[in-house]
Amino acid sequence: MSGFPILTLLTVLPVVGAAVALWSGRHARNVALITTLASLTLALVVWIRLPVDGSIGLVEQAAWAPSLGIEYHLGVDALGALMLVLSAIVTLMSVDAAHRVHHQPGLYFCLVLVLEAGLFGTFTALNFYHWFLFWELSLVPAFFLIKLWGGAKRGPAATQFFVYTMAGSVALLVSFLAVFLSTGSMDFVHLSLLASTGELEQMVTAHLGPVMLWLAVGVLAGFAVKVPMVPFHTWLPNAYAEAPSPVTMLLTGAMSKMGVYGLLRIAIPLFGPQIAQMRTPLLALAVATVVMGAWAAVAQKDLKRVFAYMSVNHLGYCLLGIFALATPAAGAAAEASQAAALNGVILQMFNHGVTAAALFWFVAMIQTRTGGHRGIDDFGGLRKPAPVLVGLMGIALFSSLGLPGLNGFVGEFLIFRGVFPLAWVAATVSILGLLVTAAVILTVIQKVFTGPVREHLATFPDLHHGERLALAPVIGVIFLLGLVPQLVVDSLNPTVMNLLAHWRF
Amino acid sequence: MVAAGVYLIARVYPLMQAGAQLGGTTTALTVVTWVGASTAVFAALIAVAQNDIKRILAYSTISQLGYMMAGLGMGGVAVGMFHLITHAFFKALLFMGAGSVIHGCHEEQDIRKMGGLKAEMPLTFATYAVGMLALCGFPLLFSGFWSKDGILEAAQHWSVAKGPFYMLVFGALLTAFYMTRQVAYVFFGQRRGSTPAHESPKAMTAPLAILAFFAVALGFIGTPAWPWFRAFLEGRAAGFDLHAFSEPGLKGLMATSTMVVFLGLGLGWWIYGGKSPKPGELDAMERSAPMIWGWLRDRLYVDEFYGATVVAFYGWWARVADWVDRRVWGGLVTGVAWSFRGWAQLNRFLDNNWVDGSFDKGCEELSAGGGLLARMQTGRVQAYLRWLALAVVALVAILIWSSRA
Repeated sequence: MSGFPILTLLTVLPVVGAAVALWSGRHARNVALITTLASLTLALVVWIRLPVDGSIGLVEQAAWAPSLGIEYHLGVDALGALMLVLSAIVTLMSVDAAHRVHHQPGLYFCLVLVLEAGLFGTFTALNFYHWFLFWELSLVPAFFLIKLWGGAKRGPAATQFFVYTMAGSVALLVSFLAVFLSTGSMDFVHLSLLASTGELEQMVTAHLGPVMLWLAVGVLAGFAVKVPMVPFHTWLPNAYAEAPSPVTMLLTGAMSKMGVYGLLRIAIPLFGPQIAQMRTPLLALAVATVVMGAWAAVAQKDLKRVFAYMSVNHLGYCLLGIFALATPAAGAAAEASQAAALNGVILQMFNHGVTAAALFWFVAMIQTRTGGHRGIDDFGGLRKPAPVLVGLMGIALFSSLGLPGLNGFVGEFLIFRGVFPLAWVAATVSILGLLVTAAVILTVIQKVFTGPVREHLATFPDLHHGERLALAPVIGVIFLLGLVPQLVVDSLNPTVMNLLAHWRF
Repeated sequence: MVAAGVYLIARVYPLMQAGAQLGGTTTALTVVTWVGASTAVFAALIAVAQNDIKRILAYSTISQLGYMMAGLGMGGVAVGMFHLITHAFFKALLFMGAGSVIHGCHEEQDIRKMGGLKAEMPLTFATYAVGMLALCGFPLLFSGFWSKDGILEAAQHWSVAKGPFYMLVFGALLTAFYMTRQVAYVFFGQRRGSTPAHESPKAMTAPLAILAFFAVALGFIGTPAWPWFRAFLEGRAAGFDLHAFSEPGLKGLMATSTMVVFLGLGLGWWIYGGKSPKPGELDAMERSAPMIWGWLRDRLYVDEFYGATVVAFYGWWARVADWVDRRVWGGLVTGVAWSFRGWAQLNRFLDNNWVDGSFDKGCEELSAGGGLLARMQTGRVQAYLRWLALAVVALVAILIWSSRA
């Protein structure tokens, strides 16, 4: 352990905040706001203090249970740090959006902060045991947040969400136990090194026989549910729709990134050759996620379900990029494409997190103003009574559509730039997804914003100053990363190169 | 804005041209040419049978974009771009003129309800006429003549096929025809609107005049004698050379093109000149060929075609995606959940009836035995003493019995 344990502090901070919030009744939201603001500051400090060469920095290491291969081992590179910043931003947005929690606010904000701690723990842990603890821990508050504060069908939705994710996690756990039995290590860094020389596969095969492919399938299953990848995604629309919108912001903005993060931190480094072996079917599933997600969004009548399916679609691009770059092709051109795709994937994770969270925030605002309306056909002419809300939501929608100049474009562009040379058929079919998403978003704009003003919307109040102030930084980020993506890419690229250098397919 | 597509083709021209032999063409450019020529004729045909003043101009724009594409495909960047530039001015003039007409007629857009506006809106009429003649390609004076002739000239010399040339000439005939029809309906004949029209304010007519000037003047930077525009694009100085007109075939082409324009104008005037259709009256062409007219009026069913194919597929596939989600994947998940539930029920049954059952049986027997003992535990001291005495007697008896030896 060297220097100040900033990552430990980052994870402990929300836990302390959660304990305080639990006992502070109606002041809980203020406690949560202060905690999340402090967390965001810390996360930004982490981002600034990253090592410039893209390696894993800010490492904290201490013995825990050495005989079981369990160690307290924290550290982040730009991938982890960006996810920390994203989690902090999204949690802050979620707390900001949840100003109408009348029922047990203490418990609500306590759970939100515990969830944040779970996210921080997941994105900093470098030992499987530690990582898995937080991976599962984050499920618990999410379950109760849906179950206690959700919509009409919250019970089944929460159960399905929890059980489905658990089922995936069990497959993941079994695979990891096999890896542990063969190598005696649970350390990501150590295991990645073993995998990059091909030793990992030899050790596993020597101990357990030719099961490496099945272990890869198990790990993928765990992440496929979390991301989610078609056809493991059916829990998502229900959970997103039934969760209170601020919780949906957390689910889509931060928690869905845990799956993609896991693919990049665990699945690809350890099981690169196996994933490359299954590349074609995996690409097909990624394309299905992109295309069917977009088309399923067309058929939805509930704004939250529309945006939920759009989240499926947008994370599909991440899957597309990851599986496309899992190829043993060598050469400068292929490496440049892989780097572009990976940069794109990580940017897309961040951008989708911010944009999707913003979209659900707008839905929350619309819902509280109309007494719970969120059917796509319940609206019309919203731009007359609420021009500011419609304008800002329009920006978020166009960011989601991938309009150049807004953040959503950058990641998708880089992904397609990288994927096209590596897997042109998949890239071409996925373009359909872009097209359909655009159609869906324009339909939403058309049906909700324009047209004659509906009677019940005539007195719809526009955003007040507090809300404008709260949204301004989010809209600022959407523009900033759209216009100057190198702000992130410059710090991200060394990590991307570092990751790619250690991956073996 | 629509010119952006033409501009893009011009911008990527080196790509389109890649691999071409000297003086030859490429498949890409051949495709561009045929698409352009077909568009030119197709849209011009539709424009003939439209009644909305702006819709006619819109289809005319599509048709002219086809000319530009064909020009790019056969003659190169300079030919296509020159028509793009001249067209930009005269089409802007026509659309603004149409705006002035619509404004003057109190937001009326149907040309059948206009008529006789040349007296009430003289400025608009004069400038509109300039734009219309430029679009038709009226010889020598107007810019459209020179830019369209550039395209026709390229088509005439095109080595691949002669089809595009004839299509474009036919398109020119249609252009002159439908514009004459429009102008005749709007500005000539009897006034058919209910309210009197008025000339538009200076803020509207002044730009018209400026555009009209360019609709004429721009032609002179691209004549065969002084091809300044082509030279400018190719980065060299343009020389003035009247002998360029005596190139073989050029005069013949100009004569053909002039004849075609006059034929179109004449036909249009012959059919529509001075006519003032009464409300509800059929169009002159409609009376003679109602079926063809119907097709053209309904825009050759392009919208319907897309509605029945692309749009229908989009909606249908969305329902499929939703159905697959709910029924297939969701169904699988529910199925797994139910099978787990069934398994749990089975377990409960086994537990209750077999595992618990035997355990309960044992417990019952135990408690029955316990009940027997409980009956003995009466709490009466006398009873206990009686048992005690009996036991003592029994013990003594056993003792004696065993020590008998």
